[in-house]
Amino acid sequence: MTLVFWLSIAVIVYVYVGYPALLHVWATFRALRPAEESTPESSINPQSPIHQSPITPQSAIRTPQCDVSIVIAAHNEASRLTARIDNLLAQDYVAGRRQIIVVSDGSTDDTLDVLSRYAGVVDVVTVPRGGKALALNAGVARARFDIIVFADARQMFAPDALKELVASFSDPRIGAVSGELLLDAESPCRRAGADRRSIERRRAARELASDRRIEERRRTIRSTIADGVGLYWTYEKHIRKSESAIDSTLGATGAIYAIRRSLYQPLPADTILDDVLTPMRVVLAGYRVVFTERARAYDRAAIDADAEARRKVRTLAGNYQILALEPRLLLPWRNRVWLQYVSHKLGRLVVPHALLALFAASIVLSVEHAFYFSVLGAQVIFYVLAGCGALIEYRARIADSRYAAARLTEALREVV
Amino acid sequence: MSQSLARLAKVAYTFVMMNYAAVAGLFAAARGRRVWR
Repeated sequence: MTLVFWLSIAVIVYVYVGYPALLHVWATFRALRPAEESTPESSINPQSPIHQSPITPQSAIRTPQCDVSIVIAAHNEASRLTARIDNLLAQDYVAGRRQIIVVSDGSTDDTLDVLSRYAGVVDVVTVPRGGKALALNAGVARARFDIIVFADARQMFAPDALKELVASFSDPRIGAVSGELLLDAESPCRRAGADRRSIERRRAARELASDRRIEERRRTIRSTIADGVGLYWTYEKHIRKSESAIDSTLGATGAIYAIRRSLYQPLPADTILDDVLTPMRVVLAGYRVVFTERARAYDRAAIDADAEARRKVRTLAGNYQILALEPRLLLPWRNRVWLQYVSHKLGRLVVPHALLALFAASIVLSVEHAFYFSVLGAQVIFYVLAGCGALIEYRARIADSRYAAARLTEALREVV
Repeated sequence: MSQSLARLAKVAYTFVMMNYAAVAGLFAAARGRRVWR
C-alpha cells in the first residue's frame, strides 16, 4: 500500500508540476542553442514518405500573405454567422488571397438564408448531417489554396489573426500552426476588446432587471467561475508554448489553426477532436506544429460548470479515441514527441485513477503513521474546498434563475 | 467567503471536475457517442 501511495503521488506531481517544470527548462535550453540547431530538422524522420514527396518544396511558402482557404463547419449557426463572416471579411488581409468556405452540416435553421446574403463572397457547401469531421472534410475538398485555416462559428478573430497565423508557414518544416484563444475571463482589458457587444447586452439587461442586488451578486459569482476556467486555460497555454518551442504542440486550438492542405488527411466520421488528430498526424508526417500567441481568437469562458464539464468530458473522450485512431502515437520510435504526449495527454487520463488510489491508500495508511494521516487530512480539506466551489456554482445558478424571473416580470409589466 | 477563498474553491472544483471528466470521457469513448462541438 505504501508503494501505491508514493506511486500515486509521483504520477500526480509529475503530470501537473514536474512535467511543466521539465518543459520550461527544456524550452529554455532549446532557446539558448544556435538557431540552426534549435530547429527540429534532426528529429524529422528522413524516411518519412512525406519528406520524400514533392510536397516539401511546394510547401515552402515564403510570402507573408499567401493564399488561404478558411473553413467553417456550421450546424444551425444562423444567429452567429453574420458576425463571424463579417469578422473574417474585416481581416487585415488581401481580399483576393482568401477564400471563405462555410459548410452547412444539415442545418435546419436559417443558416442557408444567412449565407445566401454572402453569395459571391462565401463558398457555401451543404452536406447532410454527418458531424463536424465530415463537414470539415467537405470544406477542405472545396478549398482552392494551399493553406487551410480552420475556424468555428462562435469565436471572433483579431484583425491581424489571419496574417499572423500564416506567417509561420515561411518555415517549410512547419506543417500546422495553432493560434491563441483568449477567454473573456483572462483580463478586463482583453475582455473589453473581445466582446463589446456582449458587454453592452449585459449592461442593457442590468438596466432592465428590477433587482439590482441579484444582478450584482450574479455578476460577481460568474466572474469567479470564469476566473477558474481562465486560470486553467492560462496554465494549459504555458505548457503548449513550451512544447511548441521544443518541437510541436500536441494539438491545436480548434477555433483558430491552419495547416498545409497537402498534409490534411480526411477525418473519420466520428472524430471528436479534429484539432488534435489533424495536428498529431502532421507531427507523425515529420512536420512541426507550432503555437503562436500573435494569432488571436476571442471567446467567452464557459460560465457554468455544467457547460465546462461537458466540454471536458468531450475533450477527454476524444483523447481516448485518438489512441484508437492513431496508435502510432504510443510508439516512441514513430512519435518524436512521445515523451510530451505520454506526459501531457496520457498523464491527464491517468491522474484521476491516481487520485482515487492515493485517497484509498491514505485511509489505509493513516492508522500507521501521522504523516499519512496528515496527507489524508490535506486531501479531505481539498475536496471540501472543491465542494465549496460546487456550492458557488449552485448559487450562481439560483441567482441566474432569479435574474431570469425578474426580467420576465419586468417584461410582462411592459406588455400589460 | 472571501474572494480569494472563493477563487481557491473554484480552482479545486475545476481540478476535481477535470478529473471526473477523464473518467466520464472514458465511458463516453467506450460508448462511441458522437458529439458535435
